[in-house]
Amino acid sequence: MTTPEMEATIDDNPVPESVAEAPGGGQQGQWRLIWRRFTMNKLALVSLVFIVLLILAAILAPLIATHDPLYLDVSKSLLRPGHENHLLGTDVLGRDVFSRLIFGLRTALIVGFVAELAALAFAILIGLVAGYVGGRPEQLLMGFTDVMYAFPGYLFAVILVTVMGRSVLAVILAIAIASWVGQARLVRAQTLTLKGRDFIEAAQAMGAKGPRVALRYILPNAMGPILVATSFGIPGAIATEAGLSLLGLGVQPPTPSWGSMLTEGIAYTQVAPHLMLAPAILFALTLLAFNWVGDGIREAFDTTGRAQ
Amino acid sequence: MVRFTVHRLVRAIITLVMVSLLTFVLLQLAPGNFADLSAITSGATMTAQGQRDEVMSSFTARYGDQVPAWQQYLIFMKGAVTWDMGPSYKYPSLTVEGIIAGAFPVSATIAVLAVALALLVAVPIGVLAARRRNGWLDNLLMFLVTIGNSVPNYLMGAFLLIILVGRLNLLPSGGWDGPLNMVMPVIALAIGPMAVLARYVRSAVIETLREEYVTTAIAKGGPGRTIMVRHVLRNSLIPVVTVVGPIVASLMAGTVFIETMFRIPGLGQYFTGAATSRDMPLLMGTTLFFAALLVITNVVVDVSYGILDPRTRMERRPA
Repeated sequence: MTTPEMEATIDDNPVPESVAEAPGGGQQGQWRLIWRRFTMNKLALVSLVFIVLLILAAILAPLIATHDPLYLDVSKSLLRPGHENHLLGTDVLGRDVFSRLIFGLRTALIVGFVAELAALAFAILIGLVAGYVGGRPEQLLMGFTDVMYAFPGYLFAVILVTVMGRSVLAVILAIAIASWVGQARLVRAQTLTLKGRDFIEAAQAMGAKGPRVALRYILPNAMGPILVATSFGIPGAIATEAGLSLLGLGVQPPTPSWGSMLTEGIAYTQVAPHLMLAPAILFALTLLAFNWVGDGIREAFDTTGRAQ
Repeated sequence: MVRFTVHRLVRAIITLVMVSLLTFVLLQLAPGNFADLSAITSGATMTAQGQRDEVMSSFTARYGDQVPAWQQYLIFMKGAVTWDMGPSYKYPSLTVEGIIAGAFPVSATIAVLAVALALLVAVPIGVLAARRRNGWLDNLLMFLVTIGNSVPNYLMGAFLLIILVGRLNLLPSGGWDGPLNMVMPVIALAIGPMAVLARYVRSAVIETLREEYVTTAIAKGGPGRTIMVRHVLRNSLIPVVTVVGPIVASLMAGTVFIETMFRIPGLGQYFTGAATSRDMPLLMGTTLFFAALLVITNVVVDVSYGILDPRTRMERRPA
């Protein structure tokens, strides 16, 4: 896929700034190279375009939705797709399924992005400190890891949500708290490998203090794995929220969520299969798109060539 | 070896204590207790009033009157260790250990069946993909594996419901009365592990195919199928077997969504119900049970790794 020259450039040039020799700034060059490698994976590229479209649809939801997602009219209960201006039909309360789907997308993306970013911020803070400084923060992280291994994220999230209530913010926080540990371990592992590299020692020898080394030299070089983890973390958070909604513990009704749309459809699988089918398909495509983008990023950063 | 095992066991116990403390503290922080909540949800009817009094009296009988929280915790933990956790608040006629003993076999049944199904499909797929490495069949199979890996089990369940119940009307949509009720939950649960295992088998087989004894066997001119089964598969499956244990354990704790979706009276349902109704003994009991399941499996796997491969003995294996 990639020419040996390209790989050599990445390998020999792990320093994003100041020390870089490449004319015109090494950082830009490196990112352009990674982008070029990413675009060679057509599936990842298409998925990225799809995600951008989803984000646009979520932002423009009020314009795209044909009806008020909360407006109910029991006389129009369970209409088939295409009937009476309802593109995807109506649910049992006569609410427009298409509009609920689009607003559900909004819920999913808000929860997915915000929860993942919150988890990531925490993970980077703890992971960097644990890896770079060691000592107490490291023991703390490893202790947490042990506990979280025995306490699966979704079980933890269920308990957290019952404690914090079911507002969007509470659900986001619950998901973030339940998912940061794995990512913190990743950041720590990256920090540990990078810590011993020559360019870090060079920076230290030139007098760079701990926080500067960690933020300007270690973190940028750990961006690859962090980005990969993020692109898998977002669909993970979306799936957790939908799962919580499925249990009746996610974002509270009547706010549309794909999880509660699925549950509401279970009773009508035979009379109105579109109630489940519509959210299930969009949900699956969204998760797949994020996962394929993640695969693409991993390949783009993978300087060891294609994995077997 | 003995020191290693003891060391792992001590850490496992510390982990379980941490999990129980975390759950208990969170529950203390939660707004409202069981009595308040049941009063609200049941509209404080006469029967609910009676039930609430019953719960409160059984609570005071077990934990005493006006006891501080830390004492409640200690009393519960003492009960957990002796497998005598007292009555649940939500189901006052049942004990927590009785509920666990009744519901766990349900969750375990679908989990074990799901892993069996996953292995049954994953091993042939992995071997096939490895033999056609980087060919179109391998690419197709690995593409399907990615899909199976990224779609959560309840979404698989939704698709199964749409096709098998909505479209074909072949199966009951939920409940727990007979083997037909197991079909969809087991398939939905199996897809994820199937994808993980298929990928695992594939890379293990590819690795083994590079071994010199395989080259020797091929050079000696044995039939391909025999070499595949006797030399390659046998040696590739050793590492695969070690991942099956943790998968079974995490599935037993991971049936929560599927149980709700298909109305299966398993442990996950009781866990969710306990969390929402602030049923302290039942929530603590189920959480600790899930945690113990995962921790014990992890210790067993670690120790058996040590027996199988002495090099890993003193190393810290990442969870």
